[in-house]
Amino acid sequence: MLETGVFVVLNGLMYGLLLFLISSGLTLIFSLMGVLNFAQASFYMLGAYFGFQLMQWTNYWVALVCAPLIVGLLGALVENFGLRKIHIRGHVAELLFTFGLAYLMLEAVKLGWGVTAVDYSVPASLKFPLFSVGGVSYPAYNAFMMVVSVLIFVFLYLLLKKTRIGIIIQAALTDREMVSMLGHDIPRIFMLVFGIGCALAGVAGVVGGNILVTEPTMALSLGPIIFVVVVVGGMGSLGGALAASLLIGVLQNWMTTVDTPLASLVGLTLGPNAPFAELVNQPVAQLAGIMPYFLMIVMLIFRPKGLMGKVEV
Amino acid sequence: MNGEAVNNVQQHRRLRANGAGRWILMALALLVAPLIFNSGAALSVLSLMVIAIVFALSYNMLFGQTGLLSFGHAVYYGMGAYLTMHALRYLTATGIPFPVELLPLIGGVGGLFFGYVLGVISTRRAGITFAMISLGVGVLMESLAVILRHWFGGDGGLSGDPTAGTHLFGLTLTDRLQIYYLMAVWCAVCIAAMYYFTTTPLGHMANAVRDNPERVEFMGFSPYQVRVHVHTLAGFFAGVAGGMLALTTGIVTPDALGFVNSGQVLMMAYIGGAGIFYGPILGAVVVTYMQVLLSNYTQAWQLYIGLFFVLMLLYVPDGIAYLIKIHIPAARHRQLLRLIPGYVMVGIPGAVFLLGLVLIVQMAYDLHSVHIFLNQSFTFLGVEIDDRSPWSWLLAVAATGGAFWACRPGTKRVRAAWDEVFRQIKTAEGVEEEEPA
Repeated sequence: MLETGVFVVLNGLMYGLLLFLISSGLTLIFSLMGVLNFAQASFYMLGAYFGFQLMQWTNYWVALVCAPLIVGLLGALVENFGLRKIHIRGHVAELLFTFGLAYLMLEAVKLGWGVTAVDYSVPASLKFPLFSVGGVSYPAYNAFMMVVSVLIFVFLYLLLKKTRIGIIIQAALTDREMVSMLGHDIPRIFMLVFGIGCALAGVAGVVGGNILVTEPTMALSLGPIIFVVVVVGGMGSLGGALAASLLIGVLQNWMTTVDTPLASLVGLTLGPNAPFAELVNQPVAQLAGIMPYFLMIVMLIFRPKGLMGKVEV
Repeated sequence: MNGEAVNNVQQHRRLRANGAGRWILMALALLVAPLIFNSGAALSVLSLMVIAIVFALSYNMLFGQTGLLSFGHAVYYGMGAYLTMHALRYLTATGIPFPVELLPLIGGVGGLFFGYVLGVISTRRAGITFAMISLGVGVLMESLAVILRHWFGGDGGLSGDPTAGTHLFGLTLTDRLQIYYLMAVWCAVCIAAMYYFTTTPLGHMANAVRDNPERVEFMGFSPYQVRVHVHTLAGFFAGVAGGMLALTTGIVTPDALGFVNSGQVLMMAYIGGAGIFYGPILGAVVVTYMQVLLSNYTQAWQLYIGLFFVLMLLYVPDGIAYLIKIHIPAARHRQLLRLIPGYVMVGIPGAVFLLGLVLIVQMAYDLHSVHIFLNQSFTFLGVEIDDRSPWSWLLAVAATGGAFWACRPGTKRVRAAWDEVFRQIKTAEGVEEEEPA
């Protein structure tokens, strides 16, 4: 029981941190530019594929550094040559543009790497058990992933709080016009932030793509969860996104380990003809996939502003 | 003053006559289409087209008319389809004499129910928040459909026999022409009903909520209530479209309520033109036609539809219907000639650009196809191209980029020509220049 608990928490934290890597970029872009980047999960997918390709050509460490940079550059280009043109037509047009982009990226990845999963594996130098609890070993790579995520956040935090450019970004979050009046180039800051946000998703792709699967459907399966994280955490709140990411990560991992039906877990027995019987008689593990969306609906009903949001959604 | 009033009345009459002409044209198109495209496959495509028309119009009640961008509208379509299929199976099993032809109504009621329940949850805010929530709700229902095998029939879906049971007017629904005409009737009824909706007070409130929710609230209405009502009605028509699908294909799979389907109906409404009532009709026809046509020739057809969508988004944001709409007064005032030089200047490099895009996609696709293993050569428009040489890639990209760049003088010319056309129309109609705000 104890060992399952330890692994549930560790794996949940790992998955949660991965979600946060992607959703923090989304939140950053959203709170600065008001743009909901539908293609955020697609940039995560690109990160995984670029990481895979660079690992084939060179090694994992080059991939870890270069793939996010390429993804970030691509994001900056998208902002500069695409989004900026549509900005004047409002946020819904921007959202539609990123939706179209996500569609194109999916098809482009299918064209470039095929429709089946690619063999993106954990680097050999990190393929050893770190420790074991009750006979089950914990892979070193998972720990490495968490360390990378935390390091990225420390880096991001220092960038935002301690550097000049970070302070300008923060000021732009509060009062964009005033910052512009003070002579700072707002479009360039937009481009930079969009690039950083995409690069964060790219990092998640490189470090997560080899544990999860690297395949064309990965963006579509993760993208909606990222949105759920943002809604549950509260729109535009980084702290909320972190809390929601970890909550969903741990909860989902716990659920996958429970085999008993939902009904008997709460002490109910339902015949096959009772309403919702088919749903609640499912093993809890089967319901792990829909839990985030269910959580979102519950949240919307009982606390529409999310965990740490300021306005009701 | 009097002359102006007469003029206004005349103009109004002309507009109404114009409107009537459009309806007659639409009815004629629905009637005559199967006589022209009369092969079996073409009839199936036509049936899918009229279903897509209803679905796209119901989507546009949300998107174009109320400003609610939904990524989960297929939920109501899919639930309508499933309910219709369940009803059909129930009728076949019990022999209750309910006419099969009316079953899409059951789908509509299902769509209405889910549209209301999920609308209450998701339409508190419009804009981006609604977009995200609609996506979440859509994925939830899609995943539920996979889990609840008993009700949704698992991956294989649920099938039934529309030819069995009681029928109206001696129909049998055995041949495709009958099915098409049944769908065409449903489509016509739905188009009329949805058009009528735009003229109702609720329809006008929907537009107000889209344009300025604060002001609506200030007048004592609740934008949320209006959104819920419209969402419910849009759910109804989506459900009818789903029911039509169930009767046409005889099988419903969880794909019907999936995200891909939601994305496609969004593209249809947008490409056709969300700002004009008949826009989504054009979009549904064009996109369905592209799907069928392109999937015969290339496996990259989804990429082409995506490219089409993004190009429309960037360069024709108001959709095909808008293009038609602005050309009609231009033609009436004999201004079309003025536009031709610009169109030619954009059209020629534009065509080269599109061909270049197609060439690049096809080259990329060929690199992964079986041709490479068989060492077959790649031909494009009858020209043999070595797609493994970087030079052909460089040339293709350069030609495409060059053609894109070459469109610029033409677009400027077109814009200038349109400015002139609008000025001419204004002076011809005696409308004074608006004062700058």
